Amino acid sequence: MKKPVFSPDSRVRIICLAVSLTFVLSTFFPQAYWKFGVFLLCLLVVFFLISPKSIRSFRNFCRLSLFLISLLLFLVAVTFIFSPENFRNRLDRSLDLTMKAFLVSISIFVFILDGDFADVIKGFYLFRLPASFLAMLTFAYRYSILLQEELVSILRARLSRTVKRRSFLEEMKITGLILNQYFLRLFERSERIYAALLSRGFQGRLDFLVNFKLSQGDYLFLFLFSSVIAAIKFI
Amino acid sequence: MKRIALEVNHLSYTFPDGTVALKDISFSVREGEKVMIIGPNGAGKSTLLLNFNGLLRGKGEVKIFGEPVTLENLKKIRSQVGLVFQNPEDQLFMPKVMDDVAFGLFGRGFKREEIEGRVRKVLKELGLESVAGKSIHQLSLGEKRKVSLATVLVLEPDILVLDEPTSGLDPGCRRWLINYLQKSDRTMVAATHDLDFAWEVGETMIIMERGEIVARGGREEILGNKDLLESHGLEVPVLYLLERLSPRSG
Repeated sequence: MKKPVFSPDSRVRIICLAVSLTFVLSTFFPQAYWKFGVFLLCLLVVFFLISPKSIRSFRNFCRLSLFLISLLLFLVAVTFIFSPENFRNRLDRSLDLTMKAFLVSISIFVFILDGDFADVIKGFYLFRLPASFLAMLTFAYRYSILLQEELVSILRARLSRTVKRRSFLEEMKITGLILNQYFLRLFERSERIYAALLSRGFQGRLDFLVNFKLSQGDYLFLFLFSSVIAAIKFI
Repeated sequence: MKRIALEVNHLSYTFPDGTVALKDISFSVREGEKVMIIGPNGAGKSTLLLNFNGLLRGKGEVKIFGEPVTLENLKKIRSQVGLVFQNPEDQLFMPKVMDDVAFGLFGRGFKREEIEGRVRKVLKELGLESVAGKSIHQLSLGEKRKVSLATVLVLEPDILVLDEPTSGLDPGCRRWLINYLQKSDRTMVAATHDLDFAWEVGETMIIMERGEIVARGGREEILGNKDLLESHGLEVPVLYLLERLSPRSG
């Protein structure tokens, strides 16, 4: 995996995300449809600048976009059908909601999920977010991978012992039993993790060793991005 | 005469579902002594270890350097007794190696530079410098085990408590761990099934079965006693047999 053209500090990523969300939520689609288009173009440019140059990363971007588009088309249909307003307003409202949801998701992907999430947590830490929020975020990040591995191992064990097709009801019953086992395992694991936390002196707060320094490039990147977004917004 | 580092007096523990895990356990460990607690699965070894730093609290008494473990002094006790859990996935909860090793040092009055210095020193000692900036999920099991050890060693505990330290390790990592623990002069209590590990590292052996201590003695006295070991579902360690067969031993 090649390094990105520019790797911004995680605080810059968080601020850029905040700028993006403010822009998307305060702009309304029907009046300025071109603004969302230019903004999406900006996000794409930023993605190619700050994302590690890997096919995987780009593939994830495309997959996310396709998934979101199909999901949002469904939402458009639902909003359109059930809205009590006239045809034109219904269409505007549906498209506005859809575009906003799509752009917010893409912004989160570009600025947060595509980078090192551990660094983003440290960025939040430097912004002095509440300790409980940080602890929750840290554990969610650390253990989501572990829980995913545990689920995969349970499903593999099931597949390796499945020799014939079962009826739908039998399948559902087995799935229920597996989920039961899975939650029991999660419960046991959480108890062990809590014991480890206490054993090492946990008192409700997580601290991090952070050696982040904002470079001139970070300031420049932040300035350029904010300026372009402001320009799109106010032109 | 060396001080008594750990003293357990008439300790019993019953789980909330009524399962009796420990029955009237008493023993002591002197400063610098390396004690191996061996026994079959379900003997109560891990439960016993959790009582040493107050994570579980049974009937009876546990003393660390003469001071009983109570709710009031848990902070002090936990800084004296460093517990390394059996599964490193449970022990390592921070996203990055450096942060995990540094975790216990925050809130103890150290400056950030001092914390970073201590963390780097321990990582160097354990040969983990190359993984310092990595995320925990990117490490191999052997590396995770080493990092778990580092998270405890960085606190410089007086007593090191290890739960199944060699389980799941490949021969290279296992050898590294044995060499490291052999060189260490820290008081150590380890629960293990690995009798070759116990033979190489331990000085005193305690056999547990069904929550009770059934034998205690020096390593040759216990690990060389085939009948005793087999009656408790254990086997004479291969290394002991090899040492007896070697020409040097006559």
